[in-house]
Amino acid sequence: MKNKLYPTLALGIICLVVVLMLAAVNTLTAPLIEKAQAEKVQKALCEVMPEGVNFTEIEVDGLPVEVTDVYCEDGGGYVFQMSVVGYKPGLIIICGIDKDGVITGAEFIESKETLSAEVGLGERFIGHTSDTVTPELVAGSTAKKTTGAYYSAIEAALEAFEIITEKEDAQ
Amino acid sequence: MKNNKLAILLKGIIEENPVLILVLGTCPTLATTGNVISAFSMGIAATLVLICSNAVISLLRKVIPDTVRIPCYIVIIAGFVTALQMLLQAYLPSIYDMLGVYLALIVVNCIILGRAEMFARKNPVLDSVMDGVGMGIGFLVALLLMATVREVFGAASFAGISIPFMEYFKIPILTQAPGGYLVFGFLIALMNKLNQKRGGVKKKSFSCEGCPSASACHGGCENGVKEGESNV
Repeated sequence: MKNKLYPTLALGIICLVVVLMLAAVNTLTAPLIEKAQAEKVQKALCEVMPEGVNFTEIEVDGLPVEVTDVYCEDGGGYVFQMSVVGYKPGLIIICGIDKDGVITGAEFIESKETLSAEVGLGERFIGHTSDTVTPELVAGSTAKKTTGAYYSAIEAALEAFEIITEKEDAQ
Repeated sequence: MKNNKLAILLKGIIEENPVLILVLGTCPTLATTGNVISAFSMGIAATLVLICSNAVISLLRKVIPDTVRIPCYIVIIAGFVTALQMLLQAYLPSIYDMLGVYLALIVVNCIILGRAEMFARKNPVLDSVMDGVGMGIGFLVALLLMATVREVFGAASFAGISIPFMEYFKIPILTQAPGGYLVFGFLIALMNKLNQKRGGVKKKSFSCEGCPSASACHGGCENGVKEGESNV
């Protein structure tokens, strides 16, 4: 009995101490991580829509499930943040679409994958609209699942843009 | 006493270099040596985890039961890696993004678990810390050496600073995976050549007791026992 109890107890205590240490580090770093994440989003908003001014986060119902956040820009454009699954979940992509439905930029905000050539995928969509975005745009020597997820995120952004503009027209 | 500590420290840098002699930690070595900055960051991150885990495992060596020692080591190492991840994400987000998944993969880095099993569980805290520092520096030096070759000759830059003269002579394949293997192979060959001049590597000093299969093999591989036969 003692032979079984002692190892279990030792491992349990070590786990508990490690959890407490991580909780302490998390308490220290969580606000900083949140702040850094918000700064990253603001920087990305300006990058995907360089001519955009004053981005405001808005709530819209009925958008594709991939779209997690929507930012409205004063000039009538929108920036959409999507969360998709590549080789693993947590691929966060941001895409800017101006008031005419033209993509102004797209880029990764967060990824748990090791990106190389995939980082430049967003540039291929610049200047395209829902009519001209085709899978051929992302053809090439990039990771297949990541690229597929990127394409589906852009499609979701274009669909969300159409839903929002249809709602605006109806009003 | 002092010489002994110095010997432990130096052992990891040259004689038992974890990357070029023991051929451990190959995955992060190949993945993060595309440029000098990511190689340096990975080297420092792994060194910090190695020193901390070696110290704690050595400190708890009489408390950790033998039957659950590997899970205990993994929990301790994973704890340090997760803490490091959070700290990097908060204070150095660009480094955190650059290292990507390889930061989390430090948990399963053979060098760290290998040193815990091979050294820290049998030696006092100070010696284990010295071993961690030496092995960490050895890992860092190997990564920097490899990254320098790959970035300078493959991308005509050093730590992101362009070297205009090299633009005409660069070999782009060196920055890609096959180039990584090539440079790795050449560096191992160079290290072997240097070690031969110094009298060769003492295989016994790091082979059997640190091998994960040691309990099943009992030195069979060195005594010529074939697969499937027992050496017990």
